[in-house]
Amino acid sequence: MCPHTASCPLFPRFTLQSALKIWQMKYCEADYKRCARYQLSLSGQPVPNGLLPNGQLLKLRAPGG
Amino acid sequence: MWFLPWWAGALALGTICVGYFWLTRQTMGVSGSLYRALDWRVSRAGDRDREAFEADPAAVEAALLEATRAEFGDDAAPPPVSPPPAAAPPPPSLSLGVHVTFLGAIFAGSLATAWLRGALHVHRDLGDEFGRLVAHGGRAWLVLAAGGVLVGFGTRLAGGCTSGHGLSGCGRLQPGSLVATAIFFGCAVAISLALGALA
Repeated sequence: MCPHTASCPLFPRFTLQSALKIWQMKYCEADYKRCARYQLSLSGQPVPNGLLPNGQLLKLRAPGG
Repeated sequence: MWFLPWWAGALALGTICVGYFWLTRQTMGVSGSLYRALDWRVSRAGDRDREAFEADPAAVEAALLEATRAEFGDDAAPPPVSPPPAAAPPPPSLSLGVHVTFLGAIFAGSLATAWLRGALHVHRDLGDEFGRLVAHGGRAWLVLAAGGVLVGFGTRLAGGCTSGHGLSGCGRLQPGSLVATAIFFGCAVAISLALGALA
């Protein structure tokens, strides 16, 4: 299990939303060293909230758009 | 030198650790706060990033579902037939202002304590004991500065200092913090004894 789950803002969303649990299974519980968030935090860099474990940034749509 | 009784110090530090967590839902760490305050540009960018992320939870949920389908296919994240349950709020990350306030409170508390004890004076030396064990005059300040650099390097390398590992981490029985505290306290005791023997 990834040691950063307590501070990761995405982990609670992965655990509580069944459609998102696959992230938890593939990264947080399995191969967390592959997670882009984990790798970036180890380098001492700030981790954007919207950075996904696969390295993609979450594309938030502007409100109303 | 006058110190608080051990039980009063323990009670005060325990109260501060628990109180900090109760107020912020984060564990206390002075070096982490100092790092955030010194790297204020990055901290501000982080604040803006967090605000954008927390502004519209529904948009975040929708974007996450879309990203999940793009990564794992429709089978992994079928489109919901009913609105998904609201996810638990993520653990809050602290803003730059919280870190600056925390550090300012430590400085103000130190000043107030020294003033109350009648010990608030400007010193040009580091005291007889430091001079006996380490160095006198300008050399003492150089040694102190070099020690500060090494402590700063060590805390970044270890991911915490006496407050983050020693108080918050050990209090939560974190294995990494127990090891880190054992190492830096062990080294401090050994070096103090060695300096005392050599002086």
